[in-house]
Amino acid sequence: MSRTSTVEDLPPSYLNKENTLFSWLCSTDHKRIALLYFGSITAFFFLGSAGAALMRLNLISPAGALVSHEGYNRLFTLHGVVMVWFFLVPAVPVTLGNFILPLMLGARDLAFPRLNLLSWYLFITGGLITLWALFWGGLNTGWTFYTPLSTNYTNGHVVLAVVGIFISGFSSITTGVNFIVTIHRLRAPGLTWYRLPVFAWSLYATSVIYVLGTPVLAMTLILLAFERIFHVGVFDSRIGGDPLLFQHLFWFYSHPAVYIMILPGFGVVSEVITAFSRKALFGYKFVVWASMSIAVISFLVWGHHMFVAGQSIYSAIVFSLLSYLVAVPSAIKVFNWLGTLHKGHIQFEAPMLYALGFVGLFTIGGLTGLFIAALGTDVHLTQTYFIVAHFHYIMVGGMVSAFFAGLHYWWPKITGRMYSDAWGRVAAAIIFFGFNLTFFPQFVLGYYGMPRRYASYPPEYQVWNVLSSAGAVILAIGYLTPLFYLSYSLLRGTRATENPWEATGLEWKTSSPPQTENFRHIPTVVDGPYNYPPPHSPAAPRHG
Amino acid sequence: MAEPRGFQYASAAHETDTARAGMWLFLASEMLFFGAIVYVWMVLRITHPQGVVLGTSHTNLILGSINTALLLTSSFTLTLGVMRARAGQGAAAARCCLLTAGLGVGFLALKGLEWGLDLHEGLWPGPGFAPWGDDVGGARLFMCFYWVATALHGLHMVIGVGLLAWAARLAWRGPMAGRHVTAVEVVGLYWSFVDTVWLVMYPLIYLVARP
Amino acid sequence: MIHPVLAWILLMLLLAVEVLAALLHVGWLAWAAAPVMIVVVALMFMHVAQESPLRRIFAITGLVWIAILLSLGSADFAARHNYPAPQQVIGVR
Repeated sequence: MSRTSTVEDLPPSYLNKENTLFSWLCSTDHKRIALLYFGSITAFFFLGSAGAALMRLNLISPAGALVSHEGYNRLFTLHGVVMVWFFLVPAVPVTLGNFILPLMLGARDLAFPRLNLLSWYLFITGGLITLWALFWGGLNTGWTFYTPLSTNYTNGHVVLAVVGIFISGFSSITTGVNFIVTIHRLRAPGLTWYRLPVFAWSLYATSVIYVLGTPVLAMTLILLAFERIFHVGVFDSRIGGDPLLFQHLFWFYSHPAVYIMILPGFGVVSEVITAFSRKALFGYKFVVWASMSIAVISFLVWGHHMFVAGQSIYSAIVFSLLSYLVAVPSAIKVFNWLGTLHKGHIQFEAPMLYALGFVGLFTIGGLTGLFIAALGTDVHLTQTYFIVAHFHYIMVGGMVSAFFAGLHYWWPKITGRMYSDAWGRVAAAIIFFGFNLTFFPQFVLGYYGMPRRYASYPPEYQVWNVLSSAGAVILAIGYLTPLFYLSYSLLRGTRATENPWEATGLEWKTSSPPQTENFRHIPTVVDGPYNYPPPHSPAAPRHG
Repeated sequence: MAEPRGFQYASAAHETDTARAGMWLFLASEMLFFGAIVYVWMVLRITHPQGVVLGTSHTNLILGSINTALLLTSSFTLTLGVMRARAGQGAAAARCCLLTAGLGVGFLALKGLEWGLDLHEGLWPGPGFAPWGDDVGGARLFMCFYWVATALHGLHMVIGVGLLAWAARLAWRGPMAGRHVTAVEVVGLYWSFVDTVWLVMYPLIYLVARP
Repeated sequence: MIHPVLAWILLMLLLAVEVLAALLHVGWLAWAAAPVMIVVVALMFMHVAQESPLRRIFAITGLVWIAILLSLGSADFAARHNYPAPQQVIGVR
C-alpha cells in the first residue's frame, strides 16, 4: 500500500472548510482549537528557550559573561515561568490531546466545544499578562515565588505575573473537565474502558491532576498577591506567619504539576512504540493502572521539595517514603515498553527515535530522582545542578522528546502531509546528542556542589559549564531543524493517506486531514487496542 | 428522542446528563479551591490557637447567623425552582430563581455592612489593627483568613447571582429541548455548593473557637 | 413539596443549635452540627444520592482530595515547635 495519495483535488477537510480569520479565532472545532494552541505553545517554547540560551551563554565564564546577577535572576525566572506554565503544563494535552482525543474515541468533538475555545482564550490572556510582567522589568524570584522574597523584598512585578498564571490556571481546569467528561460520555459504541488506547488513559490521568491540583495553585496565588499588596502577615515570620505555609500550598499543586507534564508523554510513547514495533502493548492493564496510580500518588509527595526548608523531620520522613512509592509505577511502565519492543518488528522512523530517546533519558532522570528522594543525600544535592539535571532529563529529555514523537507520529493526520523522514531522523539524533552534552555535565556539577540559580561560580566548575553550554548550542540547532522540514512539508510534502503508518486506533480510520465532523459514520469497535498481527505472521511487516 | 444541540451527542438526554456531569466535576475542583483556605485556617489553629480564639471573639455572630439563614433559605427556594422547572412550569421556575438571587443579594448587602463594621472596629490586619494582648499576632493572622475567605465566597455569590439571572431568563422563555431545565439544575448545584462552602466557613469564622 | 420544606426546617433548627452552642461555649456541638447541615443540603437540595454513580464519584473525589491536603499538610505544623506571633509588628512596611 502506497503511503501517498494520488488524488489531485484538495478533499474537503477541517482545514479548508472556511478560511476567514473569524472562522479560525471563533471556531469550536477541537481540531482548529488544537492548531491555535500549537501556534501559541510553539511561540512560548521558543521564548522560554531563548531565556535558557542567554543563561547558558552567561555561564561560559565563571564571572558571568553576559548579564548582571540581577539580569540572570530575571532570565531564570522567565525561563521557568514560561516553560512550566505556558509550555509544559499545557503542551501535549492541549495540542495533540485536543486534536486526537475525540478522533481516538470515535467522537465528533469534545463534550464542551465552546468551553474548549474559552480555554484557549484564557490561556492566551493569562500568557500575555504574564509576558507583560516578565518583559516590563521582570521578576527575580524564580518560578517558585518563595516568600518572603516575593512578598516583601523583590522589586519585580509579582502581582501582574501571578494574575496571568492564575487566569491560565482556569484554562487548565476547563480542559481537564472537558477531557474527563468526554472520555466518560462520548466513547464510540463498543469502545469499552479496556479497549481505550493508553494515550486516552494518560490524558484522563492528567486531567484528574488538572482538575484537583490547579485550584490549590489558584488559592496560593491569591494569598501571595494579598500578602504582596497588603503585607498582612500570613507568610511573614516577623508577624507570626510561616513561609513554609506558602511552600506547602505551592508544592501541593506544583508537584502533581510535574506529573501533568509527563503523563501525556507516557501516553504518546505507548502509542508510538506499539505502532513502530507492530506489536501490542506488553502488560496493557499494568500500564493503565500505573498511569492512574501516578495521578493519585503524585498528590502525596510534595514535601520532598522542602526537605531542607525547615519542615518537621517526621513529615519529611513520610514524604521521602511516599516519594519512593511514586517511582514504582513509572518503572513498571518502562519495563512494559521494553517488553513491547522485545521481539517486535522495529522500524526506526523519526517518531520511534524520539520515543526510544524518551525511554532512555526518562529512565536516567527517574533514577536520579531516587538519590534526591533520600533525606541524607538530598541535603548535599538539593538546590544544586543535580536537581536541575534531574528534572531536565525528565522534562526535556523525556517530555519534549515525547512531544516531538507525537508531533511527528500524528503530523500526517493533522496536516495531511508527510514530512521528510530523513531530516526527522537527523533532527532526533542532533537533539539526543545535544541534550546529553548539555545536561549530563550538570549532574557532575551538582555532585561537586555548584548551586543552581547562580549567575557566577568558582573557576573550578568552568569546564563542565562550558561543555553544558556547547551542548545547548547543539540542542538549539536540533530544536530549530524541525521548524524547517515540517514547514516545508506543509508546502511540498506528499499527501498522506488515511493510515500511513498502518497503525491501530480509530484516529487512523478517517481521512488525513479529517473532515470537520471527524467521521462520516461513527465506527463501532469490536477489538481491543493495539491488535497488530503476531510478529512472525505473513501479514506483519509494513511496506516501506 | 429530542434532538441535541451539539452534533457530538446522541440525544438531548445524553447532552443534559453530560452537562450535569461537567458541573459536578467543576464543583470537585471548587472543593479543592476552598479546601486550600480551610487548610490555612487549620494551620493557624494548630500554630496559634489562642490567636484564633481572640480573632473569633471579634467576629459578628448576629450578622453571620442571619446571613447563614438567608443563604439556607435561598438554597431552599432554588430547589423549589428546580422542581418547578422539571414540572414544566417555566415562569414559576424563573420566579424562584429571581427570589433566590434576591436572597443572595441580601446576603451580599449584609456582608458589606458587616465588613464596614469590621473596618470601623479596626479589624483589618494592617498597621491600625485594634485588638491587643498576648495573642494579637495570631488574631491578625486569623483576620487574614477571614478577609480572604469571605471575599472569595462573596465573589462566588456574585457569580451565582449572575448565573441565576441567566437561568431565570432561559426558564422564562420556556421549554427548548429540556435545556432550560438543565440550566436551572446546573445553577442549582452551583448555588447549593456555594451554600455548603458557607456552612463550612460559618463555624470556622464565628463559632468554633469562640471563648 | 414536602421534602424541601422539611429540609429547610431541619436546617434552621441546626443553625439555632449552632448559635446556642457558640453562646453557651459548647464547642463540640458546633463541630457536630456543621457536617449534618452539609449532608442535609447535599442530600435534600443537591440530591446527591439520586445522581448517577459517576457524578457521586466526582463529588466524593473532591472530599477525599481535601482530606489529603488537610491531613498531610497540617502534619508538618503539628509535628514541630511553633513559636508565638510577636505582639509588636517590627519593621514591616
